[in-house]
Amino acid sequence: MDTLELSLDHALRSFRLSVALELGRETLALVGPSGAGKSSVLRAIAGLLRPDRGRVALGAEAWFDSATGMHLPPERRSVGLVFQEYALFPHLDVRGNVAFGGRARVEELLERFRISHLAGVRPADLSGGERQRVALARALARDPAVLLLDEPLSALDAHTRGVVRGELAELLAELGLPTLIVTHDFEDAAALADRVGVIVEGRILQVGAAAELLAAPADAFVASFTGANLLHGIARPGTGGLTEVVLDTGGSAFSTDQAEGKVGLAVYPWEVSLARTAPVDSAVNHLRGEVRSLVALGNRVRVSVGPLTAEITATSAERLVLAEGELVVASFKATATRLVPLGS
Amino acid sequence: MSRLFQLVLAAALVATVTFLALPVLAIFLRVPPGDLVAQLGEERARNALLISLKTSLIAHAFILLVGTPAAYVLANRSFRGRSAVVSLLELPLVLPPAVAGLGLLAAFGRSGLLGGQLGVLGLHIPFTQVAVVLAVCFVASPFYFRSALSAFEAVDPALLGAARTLGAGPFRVFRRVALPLALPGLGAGSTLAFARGLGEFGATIMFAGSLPGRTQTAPLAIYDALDEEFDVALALGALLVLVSAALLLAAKLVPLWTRSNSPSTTLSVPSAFR
Repeated sequence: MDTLELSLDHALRSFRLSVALELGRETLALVGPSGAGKSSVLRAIAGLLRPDRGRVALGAEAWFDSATGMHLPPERRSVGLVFQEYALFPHLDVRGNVAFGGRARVEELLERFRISHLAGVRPADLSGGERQRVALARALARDPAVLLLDEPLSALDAHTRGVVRGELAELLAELGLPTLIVTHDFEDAAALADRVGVIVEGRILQVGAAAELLAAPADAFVASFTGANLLHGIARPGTGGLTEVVLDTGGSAFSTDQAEGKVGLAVYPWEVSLARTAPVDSAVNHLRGEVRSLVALGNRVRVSVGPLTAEITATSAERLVLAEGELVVASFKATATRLVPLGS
Repeated sequence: MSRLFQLVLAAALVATVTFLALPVLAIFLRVPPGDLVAQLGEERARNALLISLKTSLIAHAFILLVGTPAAYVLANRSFRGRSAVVSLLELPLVLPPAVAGLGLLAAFGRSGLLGGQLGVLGLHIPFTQVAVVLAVCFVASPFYFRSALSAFEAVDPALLGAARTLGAGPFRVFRRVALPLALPGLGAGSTLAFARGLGEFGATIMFAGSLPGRTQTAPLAIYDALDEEFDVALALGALLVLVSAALLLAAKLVPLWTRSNSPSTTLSVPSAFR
């Protein structure tokens, strides 16, 4: 199995895309806000965009090399690209779409993706989930050596999305192809990929397993993007070997991380517990604040308290009889916090 | 007040319909249908129809063969001065036909811009059937080009990109994706251009003349027959009305024939006329 290597330098409208990646037999997700240059990375690999400088190679085979002026056209790169809105051919039925990439494996793929019964249907008459399966089958019909997925789940409604995400994760594991996914959703990235890279304004800030990014975000953006609360403040040595962060919003919080100066204190919503009165427990940090909003997410409830978001079970929320405007105490342990440097 | 306004609206509609339909009806009411058909057998009428058919078909073949790829290129490229190029190609739409004829003479005439070079090659274009074809191409092609351009522009670029990543080279992408998706628009534009070419008069009479049996097309024959053979003129006119009506109907139906999920196109007059 060959490794996909790429290094790109390309001027986009308001920033430079500058990315270097190496991709073995694994799934890597590039996650970042829209307009971060994610899709351009995919287009450059597929050959739909010619970067200003850089190199794209699969093993010993160079696809693009600005040093030698080499630029293989897309049809000669062994790539399966699944477009964001799937880009199915509206004038061809499902079989026609899949066969466009190659006729040899059409029946097998139709069966594998459970779309045989839709073979004669046109894309306009398919559901979102069905379209996604057709797009995947079509991309695989050419037996690509590399799979690229552009926001594979964003065109789906919330209900379908969960199911399709599971199926897709299984499929990717089964295929064992070097796969690059771009998404703006950290949860999708964490669910689908072995490694996650956070990309902002054309630069990759941090690459690692999703758990690593959660445990040790390299900077404030990564922390907030992975869903952490980020409290801004000034760090200084505190008692007991802890770091005290004097929060910009008032009060202070303690962390086991060492830092000094301007920092962001990151704590995940599921590490924050709520109580009516300050509990006597092992948690060092207790912040009193008003409940600003309550959002139910199935069996969980996201509660905004002052500058923090806490995620508690629906049962707990019911027991505490929470309502907007009421005062509660949010608690989290110093060991559950991470201090990330903040750019001045 | 509102009653009066309703009345004005109704009167305007009746006046419009009557005014536009009356001349067309008059052609058919003047002479019995049987006589009309008989008049078409006259040598002059037959020749004119054959010349019209031949030159229109040849011109139309050129328009489709050259206009289609040209519109495809222009739809998929962006460059400085693109809109200037598009406007230039639309200019013949609004140009007075007499000016078009004058321009063709100035370009291809014996003493025209290219007259010398063409003369050396032994080519004398004015007052030949080649001139008829050129005149038709000049006035009719923008109708097709404009429609083809918007039809190709309406094709989602992601589809073209997807086709490339699925192993299709540029020609296959054009043939299998862009062309089928643009087809309704191309069909409508093609029909309009053909109708415009068939009725071409001003540029043709200036550049190709009206030589019976050589360059006299049906519209020119109608003009020529007005004085002494009014019935022949009416017969030719009636036939052209029928053909034009059929073409109009075709232009309206073509988008409906194609499946509902292709980009929809309605019969649209090129933007310069809006």
